Amino acid sequence: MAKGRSGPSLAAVCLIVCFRLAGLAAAWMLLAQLALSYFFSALIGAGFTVLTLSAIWLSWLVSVFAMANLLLGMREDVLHGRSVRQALKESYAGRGHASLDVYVGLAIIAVLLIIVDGGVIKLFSEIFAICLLLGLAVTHLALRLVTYEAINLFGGKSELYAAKRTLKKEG
Amino acid sequence: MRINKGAASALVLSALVAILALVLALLGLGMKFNFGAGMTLSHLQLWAAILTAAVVSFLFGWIRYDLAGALALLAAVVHDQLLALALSSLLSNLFGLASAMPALVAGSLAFTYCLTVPVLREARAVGRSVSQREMSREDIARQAIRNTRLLCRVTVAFSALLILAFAFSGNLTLLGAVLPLLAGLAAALLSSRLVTPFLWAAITPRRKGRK
Repeated sequence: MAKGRSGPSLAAVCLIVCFRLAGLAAAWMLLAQLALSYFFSALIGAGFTVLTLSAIWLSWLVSVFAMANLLLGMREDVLHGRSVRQALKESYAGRGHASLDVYVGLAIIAVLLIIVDGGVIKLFSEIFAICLLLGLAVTHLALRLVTYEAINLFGGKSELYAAKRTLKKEG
Repeated sequence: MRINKGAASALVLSALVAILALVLALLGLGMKFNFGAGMTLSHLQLWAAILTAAVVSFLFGWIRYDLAGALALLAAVVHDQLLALALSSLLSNLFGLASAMPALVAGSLAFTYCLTVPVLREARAVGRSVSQREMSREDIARQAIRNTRLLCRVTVAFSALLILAFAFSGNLTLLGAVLPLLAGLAAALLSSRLVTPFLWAAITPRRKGRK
């Protein structure tokens, strides 16, 4: 049981250390996605087998990738002197599209596999598609909303959103 | 079309692994399953899934990016799926596979997308910001790999940690069950760093209009 918690815990710690307040929001969103994924899997009666758990955790990993992608872009912009609000907006407009491509591409494949297949791949794809859609909503709607609210509540000081690091001089 | 030497070597290595797996399978030493799980397995389903993923990836890449992006994404998907299958087959002699194997091989597509799509997007973005006189397409591909290195490290580290935690929370049977995911991660890492960007660079886009 303790080993099963090591992945999410480490992800949360890394996010909070690297991205502070935005990382805390992302960690909560990842936890919410995990809880919702388990809830919906139980709701459709999938049963918690290796197949179901793999689908849930794979979609969770896609969300970790998407959030890391967004927050890395935001941190880079903040460290270059851009305001936090502007950096978040730019991150969603630029790097956010890469994660959107990943979600949409995988969701299309999952839906087609549900249609094409009739065995274990179909069952896996059903859970995977649901969890991917949840991840998409959590990353692109909930995280955005929560981070904007955090900026409104706690202010836009760059130290609150990006751990300082020395930027390498170009050239 | 001229492909980078490193990419060609990586492709040869992948092909050798695939051939070795095929030879062992023909000798009756491929795909070992735990508890007779192989009896329920339909190879046709797996091939249909790989074909579907390849076709969808090509169309998605073409609509979303361009022909070079579509071909690179198609190559990444086919390479990763076949290599994951070959590695799973080879390693199944040590740890028996589970009946979920076809689904997990198809699921390893998530790693292919997470590692390949950002590199392709970055390569396109860098390519648009510089002229081809300043930078060759191969240099653009290298730049894209450099720019996405941190994201790739984070994704691979968390994926490996999670899969290993999942595998070691049970016994060797569970390790065998998630073997296709580990193989898929390794294949995706290899293709996204060494093969796909250089394949994208080797496909020269057709110029629109005339001078």
